[in-house]
Amino acid sequence: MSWHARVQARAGAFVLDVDLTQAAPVTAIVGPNGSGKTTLLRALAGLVECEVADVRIGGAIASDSAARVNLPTEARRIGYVPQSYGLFTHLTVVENVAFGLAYTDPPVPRRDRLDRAWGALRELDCDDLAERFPAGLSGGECQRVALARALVVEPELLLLDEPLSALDAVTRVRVRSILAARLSDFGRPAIVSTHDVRDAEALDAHIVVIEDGRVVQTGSLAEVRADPRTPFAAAFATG
Amino acid sequence: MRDARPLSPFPLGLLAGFVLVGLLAVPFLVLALSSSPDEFLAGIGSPVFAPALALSLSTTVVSVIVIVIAGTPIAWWLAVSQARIATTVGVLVQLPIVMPPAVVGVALLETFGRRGVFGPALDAIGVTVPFTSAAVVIAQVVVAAPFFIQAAANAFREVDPEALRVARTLGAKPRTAWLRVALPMALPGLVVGASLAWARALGEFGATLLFAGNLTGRTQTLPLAILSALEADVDLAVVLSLVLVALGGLLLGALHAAPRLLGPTREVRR
Repeated sequence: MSWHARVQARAGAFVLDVDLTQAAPVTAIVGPNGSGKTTLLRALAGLVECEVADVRIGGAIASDSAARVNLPTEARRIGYVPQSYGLFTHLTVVENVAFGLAYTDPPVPRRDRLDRAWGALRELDCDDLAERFPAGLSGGECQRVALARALVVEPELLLLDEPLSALDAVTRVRVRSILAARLSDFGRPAIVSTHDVRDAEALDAHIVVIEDGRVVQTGSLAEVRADPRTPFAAAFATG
Repeated sequence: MRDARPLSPFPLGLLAGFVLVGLLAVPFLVLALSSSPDEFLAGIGSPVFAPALALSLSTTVVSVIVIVIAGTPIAWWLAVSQARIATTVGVLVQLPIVMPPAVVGVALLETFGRRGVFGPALDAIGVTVPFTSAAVVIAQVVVAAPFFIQAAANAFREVDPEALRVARTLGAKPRTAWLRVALPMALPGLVVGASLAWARALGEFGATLLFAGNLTGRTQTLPLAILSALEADVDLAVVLSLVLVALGGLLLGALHAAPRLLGPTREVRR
């Protein structure tokens, strides 16, 4: 199972133009603010309009501009964890996690959904939060709940938008190791946007450096370190 | 921990503020005490009371239903649209808030009255609007809808767009995502808006008087019944007012309870 994405999207003067193929289980998209990381993740999920979008996810065509195929977001089997977590504030944590189980193919029977959601929370060591509401959670707790919600439906590709950037230093280290452990169990590809070289290191990620909407360098962290192509890549690789 | 800020940097100003609060609250207290139980029972036994209460309740319920059904989609659109026309529509929606109700009444007459713009066309299909219960509802909808739309749009603006995106990635179609995520997340704000609109519709007086008249059983709502009673029987006016005060009090209670009963703030926000 793998992914491939050739995407061109325009927003005002900004143009995103990338052509990427999976090279490792976890891919880290790194780049300065406004370089197009979030737009790229949303394009993969079918959440933004693209001029060109040829996207394959898990062997299935999600989008093919030439053939005029463009699966809607809900049919792409994507797990998405946005930077703001996007938790449903009117639902408890366990109801948040159970949400997607109503829409799997076939849908999980109603009586099994909460059990499955509890299980997903347990895997991230946060089942103690199950009956609380998102408004009372800390950033690290929100992050784990959002991750559990994305993983419970067993997506073909997981997209994480700066998953650790909003957390304080201590929480970040803890959630980073939880994330690394959970992603290696997950067994399907993940794409993570980040500013922090330690994220890429902990997740053993293949690096894709994006600047101004274009890929300027790809490779392992060691390769980027040894031969950074841009000042940003150099600054990133050395932390 | 308590903040070290002073309760008021201007003690005299605070005193004036409390006088203002007294001005807001004391008249209602006086009103509540100015009717004996016997007078109250006599008042609600008067032939004016029951029809006016029934008309007030039925027309405001219809008005609020119309406002919520038509106002919710436009509030969502105002909240998410980036089109320039949305700003214009947003201003149009606020128009009735700043217009005196009497002006709204005249404007409605000029529009739907016999000699109004649409009068002849309505006449031709046998429809007369002014001085009917329908006119009462129209007047209430016009003056009250802005309160709902404003509150609902603000509530929808608070909904994290990422939550909707996540719902889509979890398999929900756009309509399902809206119904199961955006709507319930904004619900406390929508309830507050509907309560404000109901209060405004219940108190509607000027536009109704001009556009619908003051006909017992047909267009005479509680506020208009107070006007008629004041000319003949002040005690009855007081009783009618007390009923409106009680309804208003109920609404105020509901307004404060709604966010707690419906919202996610059952947990303490950190």
